[in-house]
Parts: sequence; C-alpha cells; structure tokens
Amino acid sequence: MKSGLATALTIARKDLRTELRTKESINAAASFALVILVIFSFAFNLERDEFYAISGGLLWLVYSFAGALIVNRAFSRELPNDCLDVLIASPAPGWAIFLGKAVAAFLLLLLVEAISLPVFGLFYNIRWTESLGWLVLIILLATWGMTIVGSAFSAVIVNVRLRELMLPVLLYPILIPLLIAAMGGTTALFQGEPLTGENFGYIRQLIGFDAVYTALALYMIEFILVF
Amino acid sequence: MREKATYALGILGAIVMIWNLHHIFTQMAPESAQGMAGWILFIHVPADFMGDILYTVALVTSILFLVKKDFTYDSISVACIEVGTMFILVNLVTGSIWGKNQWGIWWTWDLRLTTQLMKFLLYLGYLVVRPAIAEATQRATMSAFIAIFAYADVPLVMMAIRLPNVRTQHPSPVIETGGINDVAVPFVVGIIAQLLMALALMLVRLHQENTRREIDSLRRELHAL
Amino acid sequence: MDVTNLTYLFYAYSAAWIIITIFVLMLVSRGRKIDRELARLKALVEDKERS
Repeated sequence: MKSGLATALTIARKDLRTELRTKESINAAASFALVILVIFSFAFNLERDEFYAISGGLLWLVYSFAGALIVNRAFSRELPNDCLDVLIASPAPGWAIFLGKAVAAFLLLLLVEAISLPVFGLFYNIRWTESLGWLVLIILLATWGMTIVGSAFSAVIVNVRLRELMLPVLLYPILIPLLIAAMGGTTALFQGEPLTGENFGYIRQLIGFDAVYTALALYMIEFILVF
Repeated sequence: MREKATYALGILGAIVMIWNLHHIFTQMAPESAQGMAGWILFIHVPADFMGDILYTVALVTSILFLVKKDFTYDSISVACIEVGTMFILVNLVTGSIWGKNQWGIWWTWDLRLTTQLMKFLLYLGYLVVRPAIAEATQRATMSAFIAIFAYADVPLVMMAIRLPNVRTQHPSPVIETGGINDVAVPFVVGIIAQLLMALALMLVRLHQENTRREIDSLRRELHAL
Repeated sequence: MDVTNLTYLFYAYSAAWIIITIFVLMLVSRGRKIDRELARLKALVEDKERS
C-alpha cells in the first residue's frame, strides 16, 4: 500500500513535470476557457442582478469544458512510443498508476480554473472574493470528482477512434449530479448566501459523489488497464 | 427452430399488447382526474420496468464478463442494453406526451425526468462508444466498465420517483399504494406484453451479436489462410 | 375534454409503437447485412481451403 502510494506520487510528479515543461494542455485548456467566457458574454442580455442567477452555471460549464481537455490527455499522453504498455507491464499496481494520473490532472485543472476565475470575475463583474473559503471548497470537491471520473473514462477510451469526441459523450452524463451540485452551490455563493443550513446539501452531494466514484474508479481500474 | 420460437415470442407480445389496448378502449372508464390519457400509464411505466430489468441483467453479465472473461456475457450485455435503451426512449417519449397533455409542457428539469434522461444518455454513450473500439477484448472490457458505471443512475431514478417532498410534477407511484382500483389487469398485462417483446428483441440481438463474433473469427481465419 | 385526452392517448401509443417498429426494422436490416457478410465469408473460406 505504501509503495503503491509512492508509485502514484512518482507518476503524478512525472505527469506534472511533463506538462509544465511543454505547457501544451494548460495553454490549450486555458485559452479554450477564455474563449468560451468571451462567447458566453454574447449569449445573454441580462441585467446585472439577473446574471447572478446563472453565474454559477456558467462558471462550471467553462470548467467542465476545460476539464474534458485536460483529462483527455491523462492517458492519451502515454500512447506514443508504447509508453502505456510499458506502464501496464511494470510492477506498479494499476490503481497507483491511475491515482497518480488523476492527481496530476486534478492539479493541472485547478491551475486552469485558478487562471479562469479572475477573468470570469472581471468579464462578468462577479464578486468572488467574498466567501472565498466556501468557493475554494466547492472547486476542490467538484474538480476532484471531474478528474477522477474523467481520468477513468480517459483510460477506457484511450484506444478508441475519435477519442476527443467520445470522452464528452461518456463523461458529461455521469457528471450531471456533480455539476448540478457545483453549479447550485456556486450560484448560491455568488448571490451572497453562505453554504450553511439548507445550502450545505450541495457540499454533501459533492462529497457523496466524490466518495462513491473515487472508490468505484480505483476498484475497477485494474480491469481496464490490464485487459 | 430457435428463430421461429423467438419470432413467435415477439408476435405473442404484440398480440398481448393489442389485446391490452382493446381492453383499455372498451372496458376502462376515463380516469378520474386525467381522462383517458391517464391510461398512457400502461405503456409508460412498464417500459421503464423493462429498461431497468434489462439494465440490471446487463450489469450482472458485465460483472460476470470482467470476472470470467467469457464473451457470451458480453454479447448478452450489449443485447440487453440496446433493447433496454429503446424501452427507456419509449418511456421518455410517452412520458413527454403525457406531460404535454396533463401539465401543458413537453419537458421539465425536475429530479425525476432529469435522472431518467441522464440514464438514457449514459447508456446511449455505451452504444456510441462500443462500435468505435476495434479490438474485441478491449471492446468487451470497456463496455463492461461503462455499463457498471452507468448503472449507478438506475437506483437513483427509482429513488427519485419515490422520494417525498421533491418539487416535481411527476406523480408518485399510486399503483403500489392501491390508490386507484381497476388498473391491475391492464397494468399486469401491459408488463407481460412488454416482457415478451423485450425477451424476443433481446434474443434476436443476441443472435446477431454471436453472428458478428463468428464473422470476426472467420475474418481471422481468412487472414491466416 | 374526454375526446381530447383520447387523442393524446392515441399519440402516446402511436409513438411507442413507432419507436418499437423502427427498432425492429433496424434489427432486421442489420441482421440481413450480417447474414450476407457471414455467407460471403464462409464462401471465401471454403474457396481458400479448396485451393
């Protein structure tokens, strides 16, 4: 178990180092997020107050699109030069490889989200610095959910034709409960309500989703990677 | 012989369904609040039952495939999921028509409809991704994985229909609580009819999947010769 | 009122039947294609084995 975690950490560091050296997917995902933010500004013609009602939804749409890009790379990055086969053939436990990649994708997606959030606040005049603690909690929980499920499906479709199209088709329906909770909670925060009392249900839903799907993905990844 | 039995099964299912329709039109009085449209129930609810039953069978055979690596299980999984998805589509469409009649809207984003649509999309994803994987073992393994992941929504839908205090227009199940009388016969007959049809369609699709595997092995043999 | 609701009942059942029919037709056409492919491959394999 300990060596497994150490392996996961090594693989996470490898993925992060590779990505931070070339910055390919960070650039692509961040640019995509910014472009979407701009385009969405033309989608609605809302008064400032009305806009708050859709602010959370908009933010998480942007994050989930960027997330699909980042998470897609998690396993497809290993395809050239048969690196994926080498990883699978190594004595590293399957769950450790998967966990390492998921953690790396999680951190990269957090980076892209951190870049997009101030821009979002700027373009749409959303005050996001109040209740920052709750916002960070939602972002961490929901991003983990997106990356763990996204990395699992990335492993599933790594050898599929039209990979970039298939991942959203598979991923987004599964993420619906997570996105509902994240969007609802974020909208509540932007409208000034703290996430206590009834609103805490959003956090509970996120924690439940994360717990169930992390366990499911870690348990099942052995079957996927070693076929 | 087996084919004839399958076709007979399907035709029997169709006949039972037509009988049910006849029964509804001649014997059933208009439902108290909803007029005759309330009897859409007899096709709407059994369709959901069929979908859920087939998805559950697919879950079991998917797990069995991952454990035993026997391709028969994979064939059963895809047959069940394809037919099941069609039944869920019937459920969604008849529900939408019913909703237009009763509530004036074709769709609403409450918990029950959203989770059901999500279920449909999840298994649609299964059906979309499966042909894109060229190699047979990979395809079967990945499909099993997706089927298991997608099944998480099935109990969610069943809970959503039964939970009280959920803001929704979709009625709670009244059949089980014995709220309406006189519906037992067409309801049970409706379930039997769809069960027969589901079985027949599933067997046909299963046979086609086995034929496809035979084609694959013939292609390999041809390649080797 | 009853007549209108009867109309919707008709629509719903028609929709269900149409979906089922389309599915059956899809299965049948796919089945024919597969059977043709199987026959073709079987013939090819026999030819190769004979020669």
